[in-house]
Amino acid sequence: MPKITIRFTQDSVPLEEERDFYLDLFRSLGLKSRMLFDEQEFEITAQTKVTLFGMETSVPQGLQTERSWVCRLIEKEGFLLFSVGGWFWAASLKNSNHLKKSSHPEEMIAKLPVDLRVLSLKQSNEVNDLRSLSSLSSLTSLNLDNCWRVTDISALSGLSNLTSINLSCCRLTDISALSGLTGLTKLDLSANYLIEDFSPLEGLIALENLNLSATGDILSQQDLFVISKLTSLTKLNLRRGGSRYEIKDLSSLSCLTNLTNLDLSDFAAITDLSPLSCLKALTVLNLTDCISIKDISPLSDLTALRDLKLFGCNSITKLDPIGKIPSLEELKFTSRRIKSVESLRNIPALREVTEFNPPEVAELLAHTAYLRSDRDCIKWYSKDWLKEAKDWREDTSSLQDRFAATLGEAFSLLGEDSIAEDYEAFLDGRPDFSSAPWKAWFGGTLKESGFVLYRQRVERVAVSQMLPSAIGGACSTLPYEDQPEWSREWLMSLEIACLSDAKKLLSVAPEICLAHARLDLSEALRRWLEAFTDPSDPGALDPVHAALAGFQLALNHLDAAESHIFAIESPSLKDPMLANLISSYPATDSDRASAQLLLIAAPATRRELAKTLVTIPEYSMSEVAMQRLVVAMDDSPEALGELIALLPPSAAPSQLIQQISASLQLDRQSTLRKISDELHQQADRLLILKK
Amino acid sequence: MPTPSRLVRVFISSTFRDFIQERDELVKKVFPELRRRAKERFVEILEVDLRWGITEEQAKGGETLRICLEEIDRCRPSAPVFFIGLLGERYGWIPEKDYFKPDVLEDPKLGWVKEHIVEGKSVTELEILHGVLRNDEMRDKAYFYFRQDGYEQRHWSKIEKHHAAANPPITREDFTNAKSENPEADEEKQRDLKRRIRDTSLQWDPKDYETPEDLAALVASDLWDAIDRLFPISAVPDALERESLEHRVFMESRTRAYVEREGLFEKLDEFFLLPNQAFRQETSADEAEQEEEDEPDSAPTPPSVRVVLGESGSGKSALLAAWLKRRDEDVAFFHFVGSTPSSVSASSLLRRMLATLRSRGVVPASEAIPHADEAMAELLPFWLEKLSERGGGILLFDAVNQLGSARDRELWWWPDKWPENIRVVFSTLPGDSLRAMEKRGWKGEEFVLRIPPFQPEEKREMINRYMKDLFAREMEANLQQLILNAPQTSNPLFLRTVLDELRVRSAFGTLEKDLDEMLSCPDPAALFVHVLKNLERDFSPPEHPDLVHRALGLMGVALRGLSENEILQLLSASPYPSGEPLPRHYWAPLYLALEESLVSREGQLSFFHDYLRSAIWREYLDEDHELETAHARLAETVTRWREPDAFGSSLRAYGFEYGIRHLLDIRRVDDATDMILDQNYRRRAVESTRQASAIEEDVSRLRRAVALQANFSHEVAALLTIQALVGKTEPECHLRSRLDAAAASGDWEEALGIAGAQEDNSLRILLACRALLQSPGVLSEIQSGQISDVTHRWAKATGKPEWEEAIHLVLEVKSQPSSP
Repeated sequence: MPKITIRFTQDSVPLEEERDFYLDLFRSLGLKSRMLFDEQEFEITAQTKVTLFGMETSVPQGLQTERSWVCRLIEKEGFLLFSVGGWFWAASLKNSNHLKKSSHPEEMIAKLPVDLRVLSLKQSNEVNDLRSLSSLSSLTSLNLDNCWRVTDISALSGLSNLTSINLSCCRLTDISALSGLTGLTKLDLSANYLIEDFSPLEGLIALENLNLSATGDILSQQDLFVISKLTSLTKLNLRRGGSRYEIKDLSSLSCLTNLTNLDLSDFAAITDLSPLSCLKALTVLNLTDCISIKDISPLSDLTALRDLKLFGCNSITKLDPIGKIPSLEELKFTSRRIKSVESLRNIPALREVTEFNPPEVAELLAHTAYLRSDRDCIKWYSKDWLKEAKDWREDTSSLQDRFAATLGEAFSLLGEDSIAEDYEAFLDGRPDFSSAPWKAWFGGTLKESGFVLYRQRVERVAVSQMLPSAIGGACSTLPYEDQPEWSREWLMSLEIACLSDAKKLLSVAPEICLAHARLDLSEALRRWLEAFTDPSDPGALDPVHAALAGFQLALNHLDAAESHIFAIESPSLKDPMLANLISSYPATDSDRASAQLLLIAAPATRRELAKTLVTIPEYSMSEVAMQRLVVAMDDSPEALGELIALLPPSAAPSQLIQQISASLQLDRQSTLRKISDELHQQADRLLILKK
Repeated sequence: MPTPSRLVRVFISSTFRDFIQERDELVKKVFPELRRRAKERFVEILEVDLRWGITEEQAKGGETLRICLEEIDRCRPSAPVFFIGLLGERYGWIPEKDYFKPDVLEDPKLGWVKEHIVEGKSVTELEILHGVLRNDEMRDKAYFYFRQDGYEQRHWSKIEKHHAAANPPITREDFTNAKSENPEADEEKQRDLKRRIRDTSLQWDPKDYETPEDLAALVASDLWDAIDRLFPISAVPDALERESLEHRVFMESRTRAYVEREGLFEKLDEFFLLPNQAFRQETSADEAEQEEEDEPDSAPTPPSVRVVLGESGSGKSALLAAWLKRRDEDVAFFHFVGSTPSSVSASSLLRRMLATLRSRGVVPASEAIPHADEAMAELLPFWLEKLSERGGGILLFDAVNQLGSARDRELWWWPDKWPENIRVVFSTLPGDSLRAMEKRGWKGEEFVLRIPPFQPEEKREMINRYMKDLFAREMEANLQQLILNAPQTSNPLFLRTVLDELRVRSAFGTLEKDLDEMLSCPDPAALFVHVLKNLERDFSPPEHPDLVHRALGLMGVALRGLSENEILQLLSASPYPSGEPLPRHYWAPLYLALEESLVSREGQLSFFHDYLRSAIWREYLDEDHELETAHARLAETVTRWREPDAFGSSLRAYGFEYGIRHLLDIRRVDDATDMILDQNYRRRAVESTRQASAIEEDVSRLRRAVALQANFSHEVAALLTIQALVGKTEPECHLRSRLDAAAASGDWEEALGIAGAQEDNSLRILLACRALLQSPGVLSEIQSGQISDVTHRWAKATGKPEWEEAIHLVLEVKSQPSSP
């Protein structure tokens, strides 16, 4: 790749005066503008675009092969002129307010070099007649932004080299002169609210960037159809600029599959976004003030989307579909109806969310930063986030609790870092938190930095302080496989310090007991269980038994699991565990399993499980088990019928089923119907009597 | 009182040895029959006869008379009371001056007795004086019956036969004043008493009669007329109204001596008055746009639920009851768990809630309430929507921690979402209910209203209110200070119980010692155990040393409140308890002592506070044999179902309704199975409860119990399953044939009773039509009037006016002499 050196000659206009020009140019070349008169080096390709006077333009062939660009920016005849090696590339009319009253811009244009490529007449009050431009046939980029006296652009029709025109804020009515400029890739017609006919654009199939924002309320469904033919478009701006807009149907846009940027602000009438769902390349989408949109589920298909604006979309109540866009980095919305950003939690790319409760957003962004292991981001924001967490005064402490846990996860990625001390101090000051933050913090540390730092951090929290959340966090992260010795020692120190006052640790009893079970410390476990037991509220130990039962179930220790499950008082905890246990028994244990099935309190759970079990041959063949399955279905014949229908075809009908079906010849349904028919007949008889 | 209590007390006063026959006639024939008839009207009759079973001379120290007189007083304010006075020739026993203990005579309410003792009045006359002659309120409620003189001459052989077993033997002299110290004076006193009774302008003139049978007929007809006037058949409440009434009685009882707690009402009011933001989530886009402007920016959604939390006895129910009284119109439904035995199941709670919403017109009367619990719970949110459309309201659930099953306590029956203009209040203790609520996110100050302990000034107010207002006594300052200083008395229940004990024990003159003992109890639970110990010490008659133990054990185990009558039968040692209940005088002192700790509904007694129940369980039911004994005794009410006279009608009904459960509690699965599988048993049970669903639940329970046995008979299991599947079909058929038979024999009260017992509104009226069509011949004017009254109520409740027309039509046809 050829390397080119660049520098400006000393007689150029100083940096301070034309700061924007230099900044744009150097930035577009990836260089520093401060080193104006020093030589700098850059690489160039065929695609390289240079920004000159606010316009992007490609580098002419001749310059691409030069070794060195000696540049000059001079002021002459009211113009700023930019040249390379003496060849004039671009020109920009100086701010016309400074021009003398007598000077005519048209005359000045006529004096410009004829092979000029780039011309900016931006914000020229005086320019209205463009005929003088027709001689500049080499022009590729033309900026007439804010030339509000320009109404006639017919002179441009001959400038066939043009690739980029900015006609923003002119007063155009007729744009037919553009129809022949088929080389155009970029066209800005924004804020020309008098244009009536957009059909001249139809043939401009090379257009990549089209800005029709604020072209009045006249854009019609038909015009959208014209635009839909411009399939090279990557950027399309149809922002309406305030006035509410009647177009309802976006379906013609669906073929613009190259679009990366789309602005549909103020399309107040649209409700159906499904045409957008095939625009897979979209990275930026602006739907500001599309107030009728309720259903945003089509957006979940836009898997490249990085930037989404939903300001003012007040009909949206839930962000759930957006949660499925993994690439999303920025989301901006305002809607009073949106109560939660919960659904955005699994977007790893997410970096910015605005207009929502700051602590909740901070928690969300800390979480997504953790998801993508973005240590720089975490480091950068760590202090802000921690402050946000500290200052959050919210009644539902579970949210604060989660914030703290999220920060624990995220901060642990930083390894040894100054934030660690502040964070632990924050947790120390919040005894109302659960063990989750500590668990995240210790667990993350162990995973990220290894045992040494983990041990240091765990041991810093003295067990004698009896901070339940910290003890719970440590218990649930003990390295019981890799460091069993140390883990046992630590648990022993915990027991010595805290067993006598165990009730204070009741909130983390499951973690403590589970740690002992994992390390096979059954004696100590027994002591803890005893210490936790409160005869007046046996249900208080439910979570402990549930945790232990789950642990034993995972190991397939069914007897041990059973004893813990039986100790659970709360049916909403016990039922699912019982169901789990029952499903874990080998089929040969149908006797025991079916008896336990009857202990499930919730009828629906019981029936569902019975329907699963009945398909197992060992159950359908056992009289006892079948009886119990039948009882488990409760008393409705319909439910029993369901059960019978599920019997494996091979199963011999049990005596029970035979007996029942024989007796059901009575047919309960028809008997009932007979009774009610009879009653109604009598009632009718009375009414007839009356007539 | 908007509705009179459906408990009627009948006080019987007479001399003793000469009225054994009459009393037997009344107790064994008249009252059982009256009670049976009254049951149709859901009225309980209680005869009060303290001296039954003892002679006057045996009563010691005047206590009996005093209790006797107090009982008369006690019935007056709430429950209707009738006084039956039987007078023969004998004046009866006159107590000596020193017969009464000094504290009886000093009692301000009984002071008047003193002068009468000087005059040498008999105990019977004292009763009559106190009950009727000195008491204007009783003018229209007293019935006197005078036996013709010379009765014993004319009927001696019959009398002798009747009293054959009496010891000492009955003689002719027992019927006159011959044995008294001053026969002539007594004769004069008796004549004077009769004359004074005749001269007093009583509503009902005294009636003369000859034989005990004559008396029985008179009393039966007089009392039934009185009951019929008080509780006409057209005002018989249905099951829902009865249950609601019980909740209301409970509510009223909670507000006794309620001390208003600072700020708590305001907090609840505040909750109720939160701005109404109903349908916020559900509004359509158009409405949303309209409301956009007036909707305050980012106003947080106020939680539409409150949890009233406090330790046991802290006054949660009292607070809610008192608040409820103030907000009565805004409360769409309230439920005090534990106030009735059925109130502890979510199933009946749901049913009652739906039925109440329906009867309030939230949904049309023709809407059916599903049978299955889950189906009711699924329906509830829709009905709540309807309630919300009608402006919403408050739903109030007290003491959800007392719901019977753990699953119910976790509120599976309450929906996750409900309209915001429906405000819900739950009260609970810490424990599993509270944990379930926390799981739903109902925690933090926004949701939870904690009841603080009593402050000293609140304690003082309660002491004053309690002692002065309710018992017209004042407490000595040093005792009051002791109570105020004790930290436990910041628990209102503890304080209340202490005060109540002092009231009961004031007669014993050991107040200070008692108080010391009570204040050494650390908490209400211990205090109640102490109370039980006291009861046992003071109210165990030598003949029945385990009376307290047994009586309270039975009440603790019973599945609904027991009436005094039922308790006396259950305590009886006789093989036929209905004929020989435990004499009342053994039980009455215990009852009077316990009264403030009990709630009475239609005469059925249950515990005012769950603490007493748990103390009883801890003390009297903690051992297997105790439980076994209590359950077995209650189970007898059903195992002896073939013997119609073993227990009285209400205990018999109890047996059919709850007996199987008691049997299962003591693992007598086989006995229960035998009964359930006996067609005759099933018929009797259905006849008794008049509900086709009567034994459905028992069958379910039994199926489960059988299936859980290690080895069970598959034949039995299959039979039970079939029984379960057949469900209501068989009982429905049976009920219909009973209805037809009753109608055919002209017993339309029975027929309407069967129809009226049905839960389903349409079914009621259908059955009534059926009964009327079946009944032969002409109906009397009164009959048709009453039928018309009853069916009009039901027809209104069905929401189908054509039913009423139909009924009227058939009445017209039936009331005219039939023409070909």
